[in-house]
Parts: sequence; C-alpha cells; structure tokens
Amino acid sequence: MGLSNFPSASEGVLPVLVINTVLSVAVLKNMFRSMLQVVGGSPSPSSGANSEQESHESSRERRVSITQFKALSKDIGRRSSGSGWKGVTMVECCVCLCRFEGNEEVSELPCKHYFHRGCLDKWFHNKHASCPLCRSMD
Amino acid sequence: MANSNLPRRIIKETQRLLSEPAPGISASPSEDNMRYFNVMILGPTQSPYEGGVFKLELFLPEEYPMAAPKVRFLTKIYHPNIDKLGRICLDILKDKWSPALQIRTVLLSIQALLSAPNPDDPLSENIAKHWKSNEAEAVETAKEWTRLYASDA
Repeated sequence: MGLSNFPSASEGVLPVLVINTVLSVAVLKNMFRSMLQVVGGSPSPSSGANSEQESHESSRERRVSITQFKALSKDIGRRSSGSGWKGVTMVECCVCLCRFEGNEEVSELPCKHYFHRGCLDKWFHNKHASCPLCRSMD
Repeated sequence: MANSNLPRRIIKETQRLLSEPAPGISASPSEDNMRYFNVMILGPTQSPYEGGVFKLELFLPEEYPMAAPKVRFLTKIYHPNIDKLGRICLDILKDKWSPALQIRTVLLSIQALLSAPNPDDPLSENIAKHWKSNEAEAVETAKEWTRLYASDA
C-alpha cells in the first residue's frame, strides 16, 4: 500500500527540485532585504524591525484597525460615496448597546463591523476570535 | 446584592423587552434578581405545540454578554432537542454564542426550534428515535403533551 512504497529515484526528483527552489528563493529574499536596508540607510532597519514585530503578533490583533468613532464615520461616508460600497453607520455598539460617541475608540474588523474597542477586546480575551456580528474569522 | 452594579446592557435589554415584546414571547425579570427572567413562549402555529403556553427560566450569568444566558424549559415538552430536565440543545446557547445576540434573539431561536425540531442533533435520544421512526406518531405525542402540560389551567 501507499505507506510501504518508497518513492523511486524518478519520483524523488520533484521534491528535491521544490526544496531547492524554496531555499534559493529564501536566500534571494534575504539578499534583497539586506540590499534594501543598505540602500535605504538608517531608517529602514528600524522599520524592518517594526514590521517583524507586528508579524509576530497574533493574526487577530493585526486585523483590527482602531480609530476614533468620528474619524471612522467620516471614512465610512467617504467609502460609501465611492463605487458601490454601501456604508452603513451603526449608531450603537451591539456588544454593550450603547451609542458610539465621537471621541470613543472603535475597533473595526476586515468585515467592516465595528465595536467599542473595550467591548471587542473583552470578547477576544474570552478566547474567541470571530466577529460578534457575522462570525467571520478573517 | 444581585441587583447592584447591573450592567447597562442588561438594563437596556430589559427595558426594550418590556416595551417592545416579540410576538408570542414574554420575558420579565424577577424582582429580587434582575438577572433571572420568567419567560413564556406560545407554541408556534402549525407546530405540535400550537395552543400551548410554555414556561421557561432564563438566567444571565456574571460573564454575560461574553457568555450565553442559561435557559431551561419549566413546562414538560415532547421535543427531540429538549430533555426531561428542560435543557435545550441549541448551538447559540453553547459554542455559537456571540455577544451580538440578546435575550430576545435567544428566545426567538427557541421559538423557531419548536417549529423545526431537529432529530439529527438530539438531546432526548428516545424522542429523537421516535421522531425518526414514526414522525406522525411522535407529533401526536407532542400534541398530547401540549394539551396535558402546556394548556392554561
């Protein structure tokens, strides 16, 4: 059966090719990155370190954008005037059922649903990762 | 005290439940514990529970709305997703809970469960078996139980 069949020499060529390609791409990427750092001078290593740090954060934290409600509602107005995107401004947070105030911090998810920052944080700290409204996990 | 420090969300939900009740559903908080609700659901029309008035209890745990309310039938009911202790098999009361759901939406879901029993995800094995082997007869039993236990005395 499948498990007892060792790959023959001809079958073994493909994995080796794949591994070689992956390795050389990785090497090229590193070279390219160090070249960029040299060319970009001093600011780029620090920004590189920042993006590295961000990528270590959980995906859940990365996908949340935090803004003040007044900025977000202005942005929604702008988005909805564009082609086709139907912007709906929610007036109250569905987690605490309280209205959003202009200077309050709101967390927006990629599905465009937003909540008070503190309300969404509480849900996420309860070991959940889905949007409270549409359950999307992006 | 149970009623001190009641979150604003619970106060708002209670006010809205009382001022705009959902059709066929009533929920009112207990006077000595505002987290405990006495609930009544009317059996949906064209279901075996039609004509019945079902009493339930609903409790909002400390973590609510981060955790689901605890709901249980007090009235005896013949339903594949409700056991003899009144416990309900419903995903939104367990892993599908979301803080965007409310007392109202939970009770509407329970009402919908009465209209659409799901014997493939049973809580009462015997009732589910009955439902799958002879649905007409199971529906008759459900109607009989509704007359016996859920009719207003």
